[in-house]
Amino acid sequence: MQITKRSSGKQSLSPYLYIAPAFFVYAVFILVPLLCAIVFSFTNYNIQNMKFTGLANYARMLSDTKFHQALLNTLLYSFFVVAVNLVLGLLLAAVLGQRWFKGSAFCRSILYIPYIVSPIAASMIWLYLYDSKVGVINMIIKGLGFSGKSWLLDEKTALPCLIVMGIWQGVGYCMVVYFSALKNIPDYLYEAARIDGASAVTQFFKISVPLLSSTTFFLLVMTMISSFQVFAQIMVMTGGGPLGSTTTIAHQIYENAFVKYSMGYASSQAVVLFVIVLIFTLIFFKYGNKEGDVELD
Amino acid sequence: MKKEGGVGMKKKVIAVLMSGMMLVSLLAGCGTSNEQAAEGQSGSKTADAQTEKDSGSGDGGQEEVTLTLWWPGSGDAYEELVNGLADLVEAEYDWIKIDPLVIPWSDYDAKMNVAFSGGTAPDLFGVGLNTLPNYVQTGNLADMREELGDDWDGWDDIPENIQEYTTYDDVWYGVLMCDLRPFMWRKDLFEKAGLDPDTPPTTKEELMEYAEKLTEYNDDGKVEVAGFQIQTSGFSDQTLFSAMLMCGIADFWDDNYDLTLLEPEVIEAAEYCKAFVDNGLCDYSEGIATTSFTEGLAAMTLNTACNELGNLKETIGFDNIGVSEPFMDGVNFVGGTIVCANKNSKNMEAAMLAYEVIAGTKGCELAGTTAGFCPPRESALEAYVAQAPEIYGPIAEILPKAKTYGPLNPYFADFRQGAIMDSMEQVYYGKVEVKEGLENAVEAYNRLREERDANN
Repeated sequence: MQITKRSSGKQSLSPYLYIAPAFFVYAVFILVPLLCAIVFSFTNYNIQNMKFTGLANYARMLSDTKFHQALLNTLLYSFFVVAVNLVLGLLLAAVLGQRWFKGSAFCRSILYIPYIVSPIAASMIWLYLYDSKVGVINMIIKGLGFSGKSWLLDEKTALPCLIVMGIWQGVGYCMVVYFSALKNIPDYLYEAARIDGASAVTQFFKISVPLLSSTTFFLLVMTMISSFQVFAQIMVMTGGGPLGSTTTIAHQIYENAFVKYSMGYASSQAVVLFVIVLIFTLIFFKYGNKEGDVELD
Repeated sequence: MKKEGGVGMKKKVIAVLMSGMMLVSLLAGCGTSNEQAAEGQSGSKTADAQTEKDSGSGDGGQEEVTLTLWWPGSGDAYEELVNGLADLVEAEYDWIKIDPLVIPWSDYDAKMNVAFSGGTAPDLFGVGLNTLPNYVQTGNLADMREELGDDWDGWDDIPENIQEYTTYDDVWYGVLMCDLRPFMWRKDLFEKAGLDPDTPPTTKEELMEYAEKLTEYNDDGKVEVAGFQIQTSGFSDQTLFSAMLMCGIADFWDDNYDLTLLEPEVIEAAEYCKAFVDNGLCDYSEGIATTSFTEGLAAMTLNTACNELGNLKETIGFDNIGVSEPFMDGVNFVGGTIVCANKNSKNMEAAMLAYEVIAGTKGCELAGTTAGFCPPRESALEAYVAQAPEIYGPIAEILPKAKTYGPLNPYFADFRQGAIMDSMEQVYYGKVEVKEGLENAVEAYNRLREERDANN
């Protein structure tokens, strides 16, 4: 929006007044809580009392093995979910975008549905799929002659199970965004490549992938942020267990804030999560946004 | 130019009006009235209730009062309980209206804390037994002995042990609606395993033998029905405590809140629990919930609340369930919900009248016949037992000797969430030996306790 200037040199108030309601809501529900969280992170706030404790909460995090485990789990979850979603989303978009593929719209709809399903509802569905006694996955495995597993109650398989679910939920979104981006690549580039004898694979890697870099960068940032915040699935499906193998930073924040009422400590973990996401975002901006399509400011 | 200026002014006016409306609607939605805040009242009145109060009065010329009642739990039985309690109070005092609300346990403490902080806490409310010290620290709980007076009929009607469990720092905070954990077994599964369905085990060794006979496995060799319900994650303290009572140890901590976990009897109890997992009688990955018995996944239990009996009646049927009289030297685990009052209630007089009804014989009977609590009053036990004497009779007998974890502990959250749950899970999953796990629990508890003391 352009800010108009009066002849007197004073800026018009109108634009500010127009955005004031939205900004007010943003300030009340985002900005103020964010500032409060930063302030609380330097206190021992527990709903009843609050005392300034300096960096004690941050120091505590250094020796908190649960937090370390949550950090590792969050990084593992994010890495696999983001990487697979981007690769699979791109491949699906490329396949579904081919003229010979019949029923593309139907397939895109089916793939996109998980993204708009509530995480709680999706978690309930997957809880049944993974059930060791009546779950479909174990039924299939047993049908193939193998023995079933208690997927969510085994520390080795619980996190991978959540990752699979995360991929199922997110791949449709990546596919749709890639799909529309692929449609925007001019046909003449592919025609020229075909005339030069480039195979379909070569065209994909030499034309599609480079021209999708800004889309990839956008998806990378968005999926990374959402995967760092994963919480509902964990609460519903595993509660962070077994043996803390699926606890994440967001889950630890909840545990500390609303189970143990260590609001101050939970706030410090929230600040750390914010900083981690910020660092990753800045790194992606620095190295992933070479074309400068997206501006930081 | 003039016209443009007029349009600009109009826009400005609209923008200002919109901003103002947004601000007012937000403040109206989020805030409490200044009057309420200033008075520091419990804030329990809805707009309708406030209107009622302003306009109406009871038959006796008494001004109509609306009290709020919050209760932790979920499901129809709890709705039936709080609505029934409201009806009882309103039938007794037509000028008192009760606005009841059932809140799931998982949200309850957080909502109560927020309500206390915001001055909107209910007049009457339930509190989980072990969390009482945390509520006391807020300074919002009424001293019920002082409020009810020495001539209250409950003093002679409620067993001493039950009165003692809700006393903290020499102050009595209310009536405990008891959640007892009797020894229960599945008669049909006993028959299936060739055991006498009317003869439960009477010793620890027999319990293990019975469990071996009762455990059922699927084609993969995994436990399909556990012989004995062992809770290996979540609130694993409950199974451990029941086993401790079997081993003769009566408290998790002493009067100074120092843990007793390294006492030989506690280690023995924990090893006994672990043996069920080690012997393949309880696949830890399947027997994780307190609901295993209720869901038909365990044949015997010492950790299923008597509140579950309503569900058990529907799912398994009372014909297939046996309830033991005081198990192994007559001590069973008791928890429950304490009925407390808000010290800052604006309508304390009405709240106390309502309290006397809720915690009276009829209120306790209702708690027993709806939500399945074992009534703390002896005068209410008759109606409770009459529901099914073979099931409820033994539970009523357990009540006077039932034990809870120890003196109410202000560090309970540190004990449960910070120490014992994680440590016992490590033990059950075979990550550490029993003794090491309990040592870890004590170490974690002591550290958290120190931190809490330092913070306070």
